[in-house]
Amino acid sequence: MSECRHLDLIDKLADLAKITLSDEEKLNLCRDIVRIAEYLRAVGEAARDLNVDPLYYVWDKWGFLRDYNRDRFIIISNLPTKVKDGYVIVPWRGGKIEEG
Amino acid sequence: MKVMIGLEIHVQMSEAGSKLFCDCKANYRGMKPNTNVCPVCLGLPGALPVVNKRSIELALLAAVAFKCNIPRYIVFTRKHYFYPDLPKNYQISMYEKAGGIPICRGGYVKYLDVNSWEWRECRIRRINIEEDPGRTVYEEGGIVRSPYALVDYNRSGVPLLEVITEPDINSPREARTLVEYILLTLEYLGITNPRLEGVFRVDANISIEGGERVEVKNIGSTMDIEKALNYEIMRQAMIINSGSKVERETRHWDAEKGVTRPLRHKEYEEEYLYFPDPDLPPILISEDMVTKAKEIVLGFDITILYENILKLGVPRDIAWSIVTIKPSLDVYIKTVKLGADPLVAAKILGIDYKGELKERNMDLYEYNNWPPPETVYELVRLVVDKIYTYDTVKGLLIPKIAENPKVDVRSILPEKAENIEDIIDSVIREEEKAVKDYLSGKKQALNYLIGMVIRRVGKRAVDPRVIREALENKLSKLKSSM
Amino acid sequence: MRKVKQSWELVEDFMNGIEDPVEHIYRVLDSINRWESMVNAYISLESPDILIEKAEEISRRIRRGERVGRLVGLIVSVKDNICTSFLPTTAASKILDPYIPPYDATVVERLLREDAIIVGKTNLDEFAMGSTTELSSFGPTRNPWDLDRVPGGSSGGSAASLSYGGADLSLGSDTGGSARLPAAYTATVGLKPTYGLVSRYGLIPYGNSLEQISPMARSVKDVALLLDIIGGFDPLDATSLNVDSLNTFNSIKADARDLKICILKEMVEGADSPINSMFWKIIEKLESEGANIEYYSLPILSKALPTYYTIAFAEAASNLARYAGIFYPTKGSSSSWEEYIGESRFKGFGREVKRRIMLGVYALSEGYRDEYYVAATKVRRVIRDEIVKLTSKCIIASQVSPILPPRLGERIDDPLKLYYMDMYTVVANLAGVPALAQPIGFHGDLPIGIQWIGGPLEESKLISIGLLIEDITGLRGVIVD
Ligand SMILES: [Zn+2]
Repeated sequence: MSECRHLDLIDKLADLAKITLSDEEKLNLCRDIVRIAEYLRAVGEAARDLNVDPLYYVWDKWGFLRDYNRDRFIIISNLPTKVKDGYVIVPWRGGKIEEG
Repeated sequence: MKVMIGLEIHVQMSEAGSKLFCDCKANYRGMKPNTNVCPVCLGLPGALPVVNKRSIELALLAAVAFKCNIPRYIVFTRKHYFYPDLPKNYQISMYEKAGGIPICRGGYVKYLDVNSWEWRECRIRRINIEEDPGRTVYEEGGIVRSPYALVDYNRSGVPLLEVITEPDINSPREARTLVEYILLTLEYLGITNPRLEGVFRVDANISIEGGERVEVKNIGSTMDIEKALNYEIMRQAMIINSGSKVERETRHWDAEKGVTRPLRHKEYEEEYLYFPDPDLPPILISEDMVTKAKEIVLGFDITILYENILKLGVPRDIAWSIVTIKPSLDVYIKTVKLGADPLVAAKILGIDYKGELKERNMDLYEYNNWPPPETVYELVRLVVDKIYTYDTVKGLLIPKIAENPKVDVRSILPEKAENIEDIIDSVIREEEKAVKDYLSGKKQALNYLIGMVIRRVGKRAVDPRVIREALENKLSKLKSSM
Repeated sequence: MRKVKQSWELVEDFMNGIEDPVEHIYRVLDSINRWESMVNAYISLESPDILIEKAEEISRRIRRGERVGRLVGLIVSVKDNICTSFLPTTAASKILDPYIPPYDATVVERLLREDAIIVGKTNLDEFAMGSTTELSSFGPTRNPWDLDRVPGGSSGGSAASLSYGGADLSLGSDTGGSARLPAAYTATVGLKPTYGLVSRYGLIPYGNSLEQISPMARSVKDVALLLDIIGGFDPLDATSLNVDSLNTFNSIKADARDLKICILKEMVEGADSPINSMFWKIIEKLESEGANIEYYSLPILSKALPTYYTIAFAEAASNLARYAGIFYPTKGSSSSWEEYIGESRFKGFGREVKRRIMLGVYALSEGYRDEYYVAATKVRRVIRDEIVKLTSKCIIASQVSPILPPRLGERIDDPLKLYYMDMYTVVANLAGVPALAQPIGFHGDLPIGIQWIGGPLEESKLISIGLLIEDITGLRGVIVD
């Protein structure tokens, strides 16, 4: 694993992105991500000399408000999810006992 | 020992009609799990949020009521964290440091501390509008050990107000009073119904002079605010007294056990990847919207309403008692408008009728449990015109009205003393044996005689105390004349 | 190469009884049978029985003189990142295989209202992240003009379905060129509308501030027909512009003498020579017919590509957070929550998607946000301002892609090489303005396209110039034989 010097960064990103990675994939991603991030850095450099506000919404227009009602209820058990007594059931602590 | 408390109060805008970004219902109570859900509040791919107009109008009322700086427009941001009850794994909120603009910045609440009857002030740092996550139920073992989490998304997307105060609060009691005052204000403005189960949650930041700030999360009732803070102050004081330092941390309030517990630490600083939600362009808060909000807020200003009652000569505790129950205030204002004596009306509504409802375990906040103003006006008239004593009204009429608030007062008026005199006289004449027994010292014979009088009075209402008094009078005269 | 009727002509012929919708669906099904095993344009196809039944019903309704919609009897393919309640919608990702949405996208509702027949869902790069349609968990789509080459991406399935006659019209999506690049590689037409003209309700998001559902067809007029139907305000999309559908179908062919065309140095430099020479041939032709050609340079455009990718990655990281194994079919096996979601996402996402999510997380994380994400939004403002200013004076002409359709596997090993393919197309997405890609010729068997960029809501202008170019090149209604 010594081929990439930024494995700690990759571990942090994978944790934030909640993606479990195999060692091989971690190495590949490490190589790619470091290269791409380097390439994207040009943007930060370009913006340094710009005295403008960020543009988050391309038209700088106001959004509208919803003032009507249209029923769009759906039946949850039609989705590919596990349902028990109407509740969606998800794994939590796996039966393992962990103290808080 | 100086204590500084700041609060984050999350209140559902339960009266907003629909959820913040979709058409599902804002008040989901009584619905089966996961029946108040749609593609938007389940965060299904491709579904898009559109802001509910009513929730912005309501939030604006709160911002005006708390004298906030109101921005020209608001911006929603995404806050990312993975949790089973958060279907998109981000929550739409308003984080200022990443381009978000909240509905309120820099306001304050002037609230009445009913313990000292002094007005206090607490600064409001910010009010955010955000979406509520779903509700998680853990199986055996709770959040710490439960093998599974069961999630109900009926709550997912319900509009929330997050009211963040400055650390201006100095005692647990004050904290509780402030929250009660804020909830009452929001109730009067038609934003929320504070009595709905789970409609608000409070996180408190608390520090004792010289120590670090500790955050206590998940406080679910006004009573628990006081309890949790008292516990936390005691805990921190013990640490200080033992010569240690209070560390900065986040704790969880366990309402069942009445203790705060530490939450597990993260390895690194919380990282929420905030940025403005590209699906929600900024919403303009027009001057027109603000003007309208100001008018509404003026009509429901608790301070003004309370002081108006004081001006009528009503003592502050009774005045406050009326103000805290919105239906009773409505009836009170209308009764006084009809020309009723404000003090007697206040006593009836603020003390005795309210007390009667409480005794009967009836909902004080249910409009149908309160009489129409005409009824209260009539009661006041009976007292003021000395037709009945206040005690008779309280003892005889109020319970009957509480039983059936729509009842016609005239149909339940008790017999007046003069008419009963004759009946008493005839009972004394006819019940010779019982009279003799009583006069010879058998006190229980009096109850028999009272019973006989009541039987003859028939269905008409009568106060047994009045009969007892009249009977005793007559019998003592009889004795002295023997 | 062979030419077929345009879709709008077909509709007229259905109505006149010259053509029959039932015969037509058989024809399209024949093409699908012949090509699909080689090309792989579709992820899912409606059953032929249902399609024939629908065509029969439409045929009956026409004969009875009942009112029918504007797309009556036309066979439409829909990119598989657009939700349909009657066909699976996977975004070409394993994480959504199989998933049938409980609702239809607004554009799909509008197609059905106009009596279109939706034939199937087309292949794409997973979550539209790619430029070749190789990065699909359902295998790559091949270019019908040369089966060893890619059709471009990410709407490669849509473009391929059009170019072999497997559909009359198609809905693609365009986040950074995803409809225009495949159009250019398959001799079809793709139009990226003004941001907010077409509802995104039901489009599985990748870069929401950049993307639009985009009409694709074999002729400019057909693209206009489709655009008019899917465009216009939708109360379910808060970024939807408060405009009625445009009437671009009735746009008339531009007169070269009225044309003002701008050519930006940064948007023509660097292309391979066959592309270059064909582009300049068209420009010279227009100039000789009286068009006014002006030349500009906008140095900030050299930052367009990294700006685009930074914003797209950040938005993607956020949009894809929801796929955590709760509501979607690919699930982890661990019984602990954290491990379960990590595993679900590990199993469900392809490598490019993981790359982009992690880069997006990086661009948004504390300490990097200002240098990456926020910086990109600032550069975006400058680019938007410049492009809107320029397009108020002229229509921008540029190439679509700097390279000819690459061979399969040629580009995907190096992500930066892949991203480079979008260098001319991302500008319109950053600026929000409409852009049209249409064919102008072939280099051997390989199609070459041109791109026109107009001002906000100037789709009609683009259609007009597109009609003129079609007259010059004769490339209208072209399919592979
Ligand atoms: Zn909903």
